[in-house]
Amino acid sequence: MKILFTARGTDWNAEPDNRFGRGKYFVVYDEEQDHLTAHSNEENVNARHGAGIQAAQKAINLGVEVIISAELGPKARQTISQSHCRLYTIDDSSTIQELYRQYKKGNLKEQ
Amino acid sequence: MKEIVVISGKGGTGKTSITAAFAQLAGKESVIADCDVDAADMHLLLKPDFAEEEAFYSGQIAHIDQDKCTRCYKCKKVCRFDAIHVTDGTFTVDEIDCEGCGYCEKICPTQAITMYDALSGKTCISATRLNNTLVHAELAIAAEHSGKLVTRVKTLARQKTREEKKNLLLIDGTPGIGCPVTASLTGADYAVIVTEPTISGINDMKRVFDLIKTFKIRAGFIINKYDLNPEKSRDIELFIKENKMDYLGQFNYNENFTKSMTQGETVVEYDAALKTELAKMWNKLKSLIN
Amino acid sequence: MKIAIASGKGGTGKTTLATNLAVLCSSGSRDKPTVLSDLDVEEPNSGLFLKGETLHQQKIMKEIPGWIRDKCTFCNRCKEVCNFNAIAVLPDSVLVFPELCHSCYACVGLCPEDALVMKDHPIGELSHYKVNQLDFIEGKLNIGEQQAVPLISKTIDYTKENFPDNSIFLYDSPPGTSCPMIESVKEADYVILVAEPTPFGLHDLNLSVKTMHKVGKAFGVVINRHGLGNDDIEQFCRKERVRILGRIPNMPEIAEKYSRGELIIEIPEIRREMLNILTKTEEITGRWICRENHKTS
Repeated sequence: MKILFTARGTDWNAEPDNRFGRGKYFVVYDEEQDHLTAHSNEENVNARHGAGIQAAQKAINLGVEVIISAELGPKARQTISQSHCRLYTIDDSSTIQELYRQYKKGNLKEQ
Repeated sequence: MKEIVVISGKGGTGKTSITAAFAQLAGKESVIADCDVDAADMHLLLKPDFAEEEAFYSGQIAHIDQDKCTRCYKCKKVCRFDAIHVTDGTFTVDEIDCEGCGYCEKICPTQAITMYDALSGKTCISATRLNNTLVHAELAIAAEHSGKLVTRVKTLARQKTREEKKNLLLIDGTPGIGCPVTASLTGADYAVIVTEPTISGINDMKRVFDLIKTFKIRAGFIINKYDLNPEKSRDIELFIKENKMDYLGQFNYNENFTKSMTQGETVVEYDAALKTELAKMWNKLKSLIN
Repeated sequence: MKIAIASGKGGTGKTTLATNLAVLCSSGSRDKPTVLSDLDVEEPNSGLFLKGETLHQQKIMKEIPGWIRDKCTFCNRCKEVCNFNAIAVLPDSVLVFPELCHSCYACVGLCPEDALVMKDHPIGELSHYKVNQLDFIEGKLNIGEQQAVPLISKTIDYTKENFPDNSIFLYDSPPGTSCPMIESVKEADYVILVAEPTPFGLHDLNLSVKTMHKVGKAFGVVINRHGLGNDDIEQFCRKERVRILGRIPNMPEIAEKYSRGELIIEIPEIRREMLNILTKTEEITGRWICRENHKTS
């Protein structure tokens, strides 16, 4: 399973980013490979329009099955609905590592 | 952190006067944002110091390099907005008509066209005379009002609210139902709708309420100029009840709203009776969002 | 003759002026039509004051790209060329977001496989009413639609196609100084700015005046709720050499009539002042607008 977190940094200690479309980094954890990769979302952070849509497209194209981020806007949600991605809302965890633990425990709210 | 946005649908219902009064009552517990960037008036009452100004670019405009242009007419043919003018064989772009789609740039065989970012206003982060922070903006004349400047003001205001460890962000929203309003409502926890008992006031209130429903935000109503048409005021009260929304209170027509404005004061500074009324509404509002 | 009635700030009396002037202009004028268009398409309110018979109603469309799955190779070109991020290319579908689309045709024109074609998408409704002698056209934006400009320009197109050039066209413009307002004053021969004598009103009038200079339009000012607030606005107009066309007093009777959706020219002194505004506009533009005016003067 590939899980995407929106984060302000690039590693497990990064703070979750409370924005989806304009989130700073898309950090993807591949559970099978036990491997963490970070993708800059720079192009959408500064997008003039439709950041949510383009971020959703990017997430789908990264092949993730779970997205853990802020509440998605209607257009981003519509885009994601074209895939089989599941959406969860971030809680007040201070790192994405903690956020992942909460997700595994089933403590995150599904969007 | 909670975000309250004040809107009205129709202009001139007293939205900004009431928001400024709430800003006064909230004092240091809140950051204030003026998202009515097309008619930004909050600064006239709160007297901000315009401490941090930042240019705001949004949208693009095409520019034609005359040295590279071969006058092939391709750009003019594809432009759906009639923004490319030809005078005496020279091709130029009309800055007001250009939508910034960039079709001309992509089709130009000699790369004579480049897109540049259009200056569309400025944002300011200020300390007000009430010693709280106001984030406000000014839309450039004839600029595109896409809601992007509204979003920028809100982003800055949220940052400020977090930095200053405040619990509340109070936003003066935008009139209408188009994208600037959508931008001012996005992410809000509560909407205050200021309306008046006139047929246009009610009509616009209903339209903006339909928009709010799509956001699933709770809304509370204030009826201004209640006595102007008590029958219509009762219609509004009924509407609120039917839609199970909150009723925050009402004002009769009162010239002190204008008089206080003429003095450059918020109405709570000018009129003690109105202050009592507004304080009641403000406390009710605070208890509803927590 | 095309006259736009505009204001920097909402709620200053723009619709009141537009509807009352339109009724005055149309009464007695049989040889050329008077056409009032409500271009404040986000919140059209003129219709609340004008009750008439519906002559015509139609949906207003804008064009957006439609995707043809069989032709698409998912090359991503459409997404790349869209400056408005209105297209998302997913592994097995292409999504178009109508609210973000500006109908520029770049994706359709530049798609190497012709896999996108323009199709109509409804954004609002246009209604044409007949109110005694007056033709009243209303544009109304659908809730959730975000761009007012295409609807404004199509409403203006409708009036141009259906009425002779020598008609009196009045436009009730959207408030503000940004693109919807510009779109509605672009074609006007003259603009009447409505302002309130308050600090907010003055601030917003100042912006409107700057806008008029930028778009190069001749204009005059009508002060509404005269007597309220202060006279800073009069001083501003003197200093900026802006012509004041008239002053509508701050009367409870007007506010009450307005609240019920009635015309204020039913009050004799207001009717006189409205005719005055038209006379001044005629003097400045050198064009004939209102027959009744010539009967009374």
